[in-house]
Amino acid sequence: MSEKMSVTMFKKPWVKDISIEFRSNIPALFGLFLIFLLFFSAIFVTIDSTFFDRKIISTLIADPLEMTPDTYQPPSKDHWFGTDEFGRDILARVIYGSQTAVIVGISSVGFSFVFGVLIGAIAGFYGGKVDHVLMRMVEVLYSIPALAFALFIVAIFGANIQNVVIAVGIINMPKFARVIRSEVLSIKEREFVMAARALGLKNSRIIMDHVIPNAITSALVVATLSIGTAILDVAALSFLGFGVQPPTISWGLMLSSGREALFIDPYLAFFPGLAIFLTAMSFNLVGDAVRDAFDPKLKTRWNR
Amino acid sequence: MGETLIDVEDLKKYFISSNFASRLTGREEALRAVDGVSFDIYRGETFGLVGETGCGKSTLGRTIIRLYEPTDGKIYFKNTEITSIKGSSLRKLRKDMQIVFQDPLSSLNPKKRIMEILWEPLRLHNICSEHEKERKIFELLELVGLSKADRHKYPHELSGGMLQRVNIARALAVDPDFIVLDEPTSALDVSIQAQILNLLRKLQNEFRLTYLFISHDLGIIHNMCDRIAVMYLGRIVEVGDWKVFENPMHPYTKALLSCVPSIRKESRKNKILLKGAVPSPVNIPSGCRFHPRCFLKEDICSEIEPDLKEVKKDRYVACHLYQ
Amino acid sequence: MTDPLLSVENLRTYFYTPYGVVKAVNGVNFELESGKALGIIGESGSGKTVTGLSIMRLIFPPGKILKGSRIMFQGEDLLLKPENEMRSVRGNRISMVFQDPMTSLNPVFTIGEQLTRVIQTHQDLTKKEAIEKAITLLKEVGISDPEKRIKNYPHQFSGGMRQRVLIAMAISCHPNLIIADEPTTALDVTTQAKIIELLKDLQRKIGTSLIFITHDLALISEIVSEVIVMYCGMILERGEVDELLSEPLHPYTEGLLHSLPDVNIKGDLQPIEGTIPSPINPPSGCKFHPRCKHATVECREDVPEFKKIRSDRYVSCILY
Repeated sequence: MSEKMSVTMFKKPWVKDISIEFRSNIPALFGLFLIFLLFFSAIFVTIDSTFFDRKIISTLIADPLEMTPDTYQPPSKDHWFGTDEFGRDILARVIYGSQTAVIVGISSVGFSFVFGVLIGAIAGFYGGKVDHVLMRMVEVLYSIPALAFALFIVAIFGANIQNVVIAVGIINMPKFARVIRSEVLSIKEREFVMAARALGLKNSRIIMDHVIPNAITSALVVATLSIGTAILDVAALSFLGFGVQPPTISWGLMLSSGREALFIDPYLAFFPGLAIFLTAMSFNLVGDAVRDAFDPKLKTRWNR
Repeated sequence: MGETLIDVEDLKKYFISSNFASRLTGREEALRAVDGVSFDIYRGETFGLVGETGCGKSTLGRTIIRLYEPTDGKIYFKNTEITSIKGSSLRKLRKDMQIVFQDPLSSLNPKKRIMEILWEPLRLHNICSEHEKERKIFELLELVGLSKADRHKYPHELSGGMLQRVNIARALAVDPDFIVLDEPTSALDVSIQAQILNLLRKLQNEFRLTYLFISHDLGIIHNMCDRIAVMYLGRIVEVGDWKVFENPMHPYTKALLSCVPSIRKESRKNKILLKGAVPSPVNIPSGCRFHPRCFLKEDICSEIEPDLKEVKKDRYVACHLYQ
Repeated sequence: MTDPLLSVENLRTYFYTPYGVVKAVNGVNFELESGKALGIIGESGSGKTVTGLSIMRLIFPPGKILKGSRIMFQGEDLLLKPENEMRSVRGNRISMVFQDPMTSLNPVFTIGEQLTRVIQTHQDLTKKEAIEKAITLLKEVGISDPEKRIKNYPHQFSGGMRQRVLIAMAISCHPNLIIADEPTTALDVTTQAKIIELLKDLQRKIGTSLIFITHDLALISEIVSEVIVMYCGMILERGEVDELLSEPLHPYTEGLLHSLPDVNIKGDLQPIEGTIPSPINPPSGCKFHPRCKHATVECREDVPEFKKIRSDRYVSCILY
């Protein structure tokens, strides 16, 4: 009975690979735990701010937007992470900042994912001139310093959350396009693509049904690794004042304002910095594990 | 016999290697995989194509069903020229011609269940409606000897022999007239290979299929085929029925047959060991392309390339010894 | 009867994979006398290759040769040797020729460099002497113009030529035993015939013993005198090659022979029904019983004894 259940549970081959990898990889499990925590906190913030007008967090910790006379408090029983220059509770603000991090991280990586995969798949599948044109464009994008390019976009179109997402999305896109293209180059030589052609499928259909689903795992690995980078990029833009604007709470902004008081009250910068660091690290740990799980070289032939 | 299903005339398929260096020097190298091949395949027969690695047999099979663009020559299918048809008429032709590849695992999309794999051709060519889907797929599975439960599996969950049955079922789904079998059992174990060969024979009788059977294994070719063609370096050197095995005429066929190991002591003949290796198809020798390795070579062989000529009834040989 | 050159006793090699334990070789026994050639026949998953690798002790985690296995070679148990002593056995007293001549040579070194390195590892020769020896060896395996060819890289050789180089490497130290694992599977028939002739020739000349591993029944009959048939990590049958092939005892051997599309049979073949069992979850009792025509309840429960039927003829089946 139990054996039968596990068989149906693991029907999708990649689910089995991932579960086996995570069972033996403790750092990745730790990363996974932190990511869960981050998502949990982001969901909590969303519910709290839209339906309860910050009532829950105010009761539990403190209102992250409320200014109090207790400025520059070090960590204490009342304020675990201390307070900032306006007397706002840093713990509450770090928790609220998770929402921005998750939204910006996921949506900008989603942006790079969709466009990168499409461009890479088309370039790899058709080859020749199409490949040349698309990949040269991608390379131009690659050769521009990422942050400068993002600053340029935000400066022209205005500093708001959508533009930050798009800017960071564009600078991460070449990675996806390149990985998918090289994957597609080998997949299109496989016989099942030839067989699909022999059945009379149109190219667009072959790309969508046969090529992309088989190339996507490597893009998923890049995606998990990129979320960390994207969150860092957004933090960097915010730190420079070109990213998320107050009163939206973001870790980058908190870091930026903490910079001025770095020697008086290092906690102001320390906790948002720690949050950024832990988030980027967990996505990297998990990304590494996902890559190992999908690596055909590490797989044996026994699993038939 | 007699009705011609496929007629190939002087077919050529070259692969042009064009890299940066060759474009600079303006000298592009042509790999002449198939270099002027003509033959007929009759309806209902199994036509065997035998040859060693790199002789162009797979390329020829794929070019005939238009998976590769022919470089030159003509292909007729049911007396209609199909050499350069495109678009929807080519897609319609796909319904009549199918292919089964050597590697049963890599010819199936690893991300799809068997049911989805078999549904694809049915949906594409409007062979049956959504509510007939289950019944039709059961029918196909039963035809190739798979169980109904297998439809929910992914390719990696099946063994090589079962996968090859799925590949055959997918080819049969569109009810084709002609199937190219490109080394369909080379990746399988001996005990499984025999099952697949029997299945292919059964299906041929049931649906009056015509096969182009490509293999390097002379035992299989002899067992399966009505007529065979022996290929060497992009050309056919001999065509005939099973008598080719009894009395090979072209020196290459003679050498090839003599090298096949046999479990019977009495049929272990003296082997004809050819000197050297097969030349590269980029750099084909002048005259008869087999002459540098031939043990019956004459002066003329290095100068003039012999044509494939009928030397007796239904036996064609391309060799100066018989011209 | 003298002591055999090699005697494998109760060899068990298991692989501990995340998907379960694979008993690749599960209780294999055989001897090989000096100068003789033994064939190991089997389909995929039969454990024939792992048997060869176990003799060389080239088994790496997750694989493990279990305690209680013994590989006696020239009176010593190879499994008790420390790794550094084992290194002087490999390539020197036992050498191996692998299936794929394309990947068994290092593409960045010339043929000469690779050959002389092997020679100098096991023999105390100067660079010059080693090169001379390499040239002699290449001549011996039928490579023309060896003085020039040793300066070539592997990609400049054809498949058959590369396999010749690998054979030259294998015989360079006059080993007592050569293990050839499907050495001609990647080659064409005409090339295969030449390599087989070469191996037979060398074996006769140097007098080494040979273990020839293959899935090809017809091929094996041309090179070895004695044959063992493996299935799911166990030996099912053993005997003199022509006798075994003309008069198979085990239903599996019989089935294999009937499956063979020989040049003499036209029409339907009589294949073995069913599929090769999964290595993770092999059947109980006789490993062949789910596919066997003669299977009884007994076959499902007990592994039949490996019995001597007559001189040099052994079989593991309850029919006998």
